[in-house]
Amino acid sequence: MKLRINRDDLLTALQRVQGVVEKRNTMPILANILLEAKPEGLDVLATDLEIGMRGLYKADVQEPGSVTFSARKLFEILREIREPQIQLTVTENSWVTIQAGRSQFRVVGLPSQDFPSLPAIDREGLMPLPGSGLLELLRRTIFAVGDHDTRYVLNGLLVTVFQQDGRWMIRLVGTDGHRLALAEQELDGKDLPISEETKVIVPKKAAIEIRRLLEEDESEPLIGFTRNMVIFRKSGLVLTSRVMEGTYPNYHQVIPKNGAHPITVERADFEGALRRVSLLSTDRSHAVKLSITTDRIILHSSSPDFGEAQEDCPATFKGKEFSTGFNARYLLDVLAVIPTERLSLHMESPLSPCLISEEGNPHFKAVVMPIKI
Amino acid sequence: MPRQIVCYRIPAFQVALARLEQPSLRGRPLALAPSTNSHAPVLEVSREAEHEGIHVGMSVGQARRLCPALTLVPPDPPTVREAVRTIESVIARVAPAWESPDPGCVVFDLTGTTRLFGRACDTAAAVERELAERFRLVGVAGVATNKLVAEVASTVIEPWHVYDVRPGAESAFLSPLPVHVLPVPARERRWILSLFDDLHIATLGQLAAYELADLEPIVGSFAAHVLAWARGVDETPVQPPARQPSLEATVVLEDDVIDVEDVRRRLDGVLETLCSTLRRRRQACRLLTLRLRYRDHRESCRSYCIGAGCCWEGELAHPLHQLLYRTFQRRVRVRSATLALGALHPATHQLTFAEICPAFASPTAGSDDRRIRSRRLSLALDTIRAKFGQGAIVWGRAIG
Repeated sequence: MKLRINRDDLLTALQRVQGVVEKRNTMPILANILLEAKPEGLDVLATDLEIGMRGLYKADVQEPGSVTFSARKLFEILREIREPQIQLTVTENSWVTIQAGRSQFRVVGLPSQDFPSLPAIDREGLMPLPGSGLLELLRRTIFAVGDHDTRYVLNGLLVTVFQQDGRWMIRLVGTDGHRLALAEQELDGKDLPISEETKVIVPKKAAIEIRRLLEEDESEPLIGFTRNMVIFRKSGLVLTSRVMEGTYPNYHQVIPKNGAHPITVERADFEGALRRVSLLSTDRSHAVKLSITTDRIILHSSSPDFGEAQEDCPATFKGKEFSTGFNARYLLDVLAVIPTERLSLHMESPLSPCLISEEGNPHFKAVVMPIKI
Repeated sequence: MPRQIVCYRIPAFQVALARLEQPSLRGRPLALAPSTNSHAPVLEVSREAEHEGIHVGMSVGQARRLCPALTLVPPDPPTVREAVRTIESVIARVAPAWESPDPGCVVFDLTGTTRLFGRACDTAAAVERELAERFRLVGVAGVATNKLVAEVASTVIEPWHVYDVRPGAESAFLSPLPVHVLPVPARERRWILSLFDDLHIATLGQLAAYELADLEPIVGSFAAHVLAWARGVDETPVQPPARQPSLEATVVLEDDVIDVEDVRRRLDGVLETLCSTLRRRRQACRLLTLRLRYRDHRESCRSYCIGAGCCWEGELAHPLHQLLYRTFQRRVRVRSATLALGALHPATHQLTFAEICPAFASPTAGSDDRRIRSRRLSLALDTIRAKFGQGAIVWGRAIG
């Protein structure tokens, strides 16, 4: 294998796959990337057996071939190189020579046959999605997804494509058992390749990678689901991920109905007050007490090590006054993804789940469980 | 105004204390170890033992092979506590704030005291002299504009000296020193040092030459800290000793007990009383500390950190038993046992969706049920004891 490639292009490719490359070293080859030189360019592949990413980059291929070697080492080398063009040559026993100006690196590689193969992807069956719309859905739900939860499925994001009033919708739901975020939007286009409701649980790591790719630019991505796989394709890049098996809990049961009197509050005021008061909350629970009256929310926190803090925040509430407690982080995470100026909190009792919704947007809901103080 | 921080350190502190108690040990190779078992680690070594090739962390067996004349001394916590109090009482007269990161090491802040006591290095020398003359404790002092540099300075000199790193000379002072002098937290220490080894960074000078943008992708969030430390920048203040609230009770074993199960039973009763007090105060604890005092007046003390705060004896009993088995290592009768519940904080309980929807229950829901039943029992016992007195219910033993 022999090729010349722009250093910035290869660096971009490596930056994209850094999140996919396995860091725990369970299988040494998973810490590597596979470089495949083809007449049309250089294919860069990485996988951790759950997620795989493949991208084609422009390169002047003189001899086709393939090789795998350490993603981290190549990334470090490329970061230090200042030459705009580099030459990659694979010699006997998978030794890779990187030539850039007066610098030369000889790196040990592994034969490409040992690298796990990625599934072949058909373009058919993928549906186009507005990139900014999907990014917004991910941004609004990913924070609530669990991390290493013993309930395995809670470590994934539930993606549902369903029909409502004759229109196709996509809904993302994330929960860690303490809080839940739900965001949905309508799918544009009449010829969507879907005939029935689809439900898959996407691992959090894959969702984070998709979000990173969407943040690069606003081009329209394609997304598709097979029985055990989710496929994401965008401008020469393909990301595939296994979907998680298991039954996602019936989240509708924990979303309160809008029966209780709403507590209406200015988002910026509430967020600022919460941020300030939580500075003196205890380290682990981040507990903040909220006393809700007809015209304000009184926020109070105390820590045996540091002291206490209190602040009033104007609010409107027509029900009976009560006090409750929340993990300030959980509330701040929700407030950070709400763009509207006003928001509503619905709670039936001090220990019941709190529904947080935006003014005039029924397509986003967040539910946070309180803390018993 | 640049800060004036002094780090006073007594090298091999516990070895020095042992020599004060037994002057015959002077000039002989000495090591501190928790037991004479050949697998026990060496905790401190005297200079004579160091010359024989013994170092901290080595096993007792290995140390004895290197130096057959080695004398082992066990830790003596009451004497250490007393000596630390003595050192702090001397330092408290000249410094408004001090902290003690390790026994035998005190960092104190002399910023703004020049008019009262003179230059920081003179005050440090005076403290050093007083402790040596009055208490025969021989130490060294590092003086600098921050804690990090002062602490490092105190490790590179021999007793009776003061090392004064002048303002602006911090980076030059640190530059030739090896990277392992950095105070990286123990959990990250091994991988960060191996990373530096991979990058061929041996000295702090080489590390300081790196740009943050280059180091961040490799070291991650620690990059900014290690880079600042390598350049001699450390903004952390000297924090005065904070009194952490704790709840403790001591059980005196009149007959000097040697049966661990007997000690365990008595400690269970103590734990129950302490947990009941915690619940009454609506508090939870995160730290269990057990101190055993033996018949020969020696002490052993161990702590156990609990992940989430707890105030239930049913859940704290198992960690307490583990703690007891780890602490009770000597075949000597125990005279008293003190149990302390520390890191107290207001008791809070984060509700979960599982409480309103069983579909969210975790796979360990069975143990959750047992836990809930145990908590209900504790609350019921609290209510009965509050009404009829502490002796209204006592634990019995099932027969047959």
